[in-house]
Amino acid sequence: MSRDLPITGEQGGAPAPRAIPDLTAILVVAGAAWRELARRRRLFSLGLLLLLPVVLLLAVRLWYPGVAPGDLLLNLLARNVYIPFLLPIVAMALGAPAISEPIAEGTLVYFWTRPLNRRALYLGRLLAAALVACGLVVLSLAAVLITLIAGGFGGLSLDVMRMYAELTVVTLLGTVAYTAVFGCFGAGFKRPLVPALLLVFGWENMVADIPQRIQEWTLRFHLRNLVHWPDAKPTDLRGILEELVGRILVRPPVPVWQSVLILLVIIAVSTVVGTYLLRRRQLDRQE
Amino acid sequence: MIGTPPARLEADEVGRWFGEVMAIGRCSLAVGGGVIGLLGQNGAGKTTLFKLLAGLITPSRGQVRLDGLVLRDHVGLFRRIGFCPESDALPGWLTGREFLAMLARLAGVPRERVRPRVAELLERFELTAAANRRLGGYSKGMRQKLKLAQAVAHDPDILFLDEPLNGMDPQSRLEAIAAIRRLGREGRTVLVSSHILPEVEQMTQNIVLIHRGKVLAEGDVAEIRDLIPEHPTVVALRCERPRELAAFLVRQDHVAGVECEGRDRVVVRTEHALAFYRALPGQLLAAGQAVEEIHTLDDNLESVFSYLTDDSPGGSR
Repeated sequence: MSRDLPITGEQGGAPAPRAIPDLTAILVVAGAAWRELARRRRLFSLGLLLLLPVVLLLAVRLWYPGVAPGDLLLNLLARNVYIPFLLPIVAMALGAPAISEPIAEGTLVYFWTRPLNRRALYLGRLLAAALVACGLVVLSLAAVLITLIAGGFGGLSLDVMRMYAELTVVTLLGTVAYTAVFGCFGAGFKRPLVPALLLVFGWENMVADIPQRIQEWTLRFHLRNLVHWPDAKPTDLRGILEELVGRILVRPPVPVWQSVLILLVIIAVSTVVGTYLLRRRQLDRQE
Repeated sequence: MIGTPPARLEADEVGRWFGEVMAIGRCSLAVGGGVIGLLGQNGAGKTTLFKLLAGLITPSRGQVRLDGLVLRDHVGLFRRIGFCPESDALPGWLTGREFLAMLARLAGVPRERVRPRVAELLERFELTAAANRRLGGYSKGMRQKLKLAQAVAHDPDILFLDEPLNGMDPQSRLEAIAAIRRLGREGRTVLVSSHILPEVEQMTQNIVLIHRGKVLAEGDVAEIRDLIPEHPTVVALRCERPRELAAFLVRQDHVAGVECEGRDRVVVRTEHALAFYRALPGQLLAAGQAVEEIHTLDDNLESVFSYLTDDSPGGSR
């Protein structure tokens, strides 16, 4: 067996070249991922799904005119439509694939062979997913506002404006939180949608409405905790029952700052864990 | 590149297991400067060895160093590396231009130089007309060219090209081979993997033979080629007008038989593999046929491996 290949160069010569600065890498990756995510067909389906609050508002206007003021309707939309359903779905459809698809499709190799830290790749793609998700939610909220103004819901009172601002902040915070969690799933699981569905429609569905402290172990609880109840309770059967249940199971409320802090910690921890998982990842034999 | 010392890549007793499966045994290599062909049958471990050498997977044992530094510990070293993967996977929602611009920027090409560099690459790899099309609609040959373009986008001094000629039409093959030879002459270290010896022979005289995850032999291609007895080889060509191509090929030297398969496939049998491979690009150009893919159906390296590993019945070397 011959060993006559050319062997040249100096052992341990110049120091290693530097990696691309993280901020540059994050922005370049985010820019490309934004274009990539914004062109997906699923965005159209998500856009249609996010019109659900508008449809519900119009249905209320049509069948129960004058039953509830605008701020109460916004509150109900936040608690029962955006937080438990729309935000997780949007985050699931964008956050998990943003990280898992380059791994599953085998395009990760193009990033791995560039002089960038892997955390920059993770953060760039997560940033793009969060921006696209937030963009969709903002469009949905804008459609809701237009419907409230033009749909004969009593105009824009101060209470409605306050609730709308609250709804905007909470939904955007929730979108980022869910996107961060599902991005982490994307880095850790081969099929991240399975644990994501189990979390949202299993754990959170089961636990978030249990009137014990265990409900605090859900994102849904803390997001709902940020939406204050309007002073006037509804006078229908549901409103009466909720008030009754609230009085029976009285417990000290969780302060708003604590919920905000917990959500921010969830975002930070998910991002750190996701970055760690992606850094540890190696290309499979097939990738 | 000319005048600067070439990159020195060393693998010291590198091994890699995936669970119970040994993908690469103890493998030691030292390369620097010029084109080196990594030859092996499908499944021999070429891609895994490439990924090990390029720092994409950590070895289960041993270490890989580029100019004395471990790649995985110094991510900045990737400024000096270009990698063309075997897989055809590309982010289908980006256009060719966007893909190249992103990767050039991430490889350290300054922002103001990205646009002209991308235009130059698109021109060189004949992708300008398709530059604004999404990658999902690229043909296999176009994907191959784009993969090569991104590998050289930042002017690296060491290149890993994993089966770079797969799926290319004859004209593009000739151009790619010439380009690879030129890169080697410029003093770059170019590692090219293939399972077709005549293809590699046109690029370099230095080859490394890999079989079942182990380096079997290294050295001059002529020595290895002498080990191959004349034997029949079957090659499949995919084109738009298979009957015309079959009628043309059957009249050529070294062709023992031709068959049409399906609507776009011609299967050629030859008794002289090396001579056939050398003559094929010229013959296809003379026939005026646009061949989309060329595949070797029976691997002509088999006999070399049989010889070297003493697998042949009654063989003893």
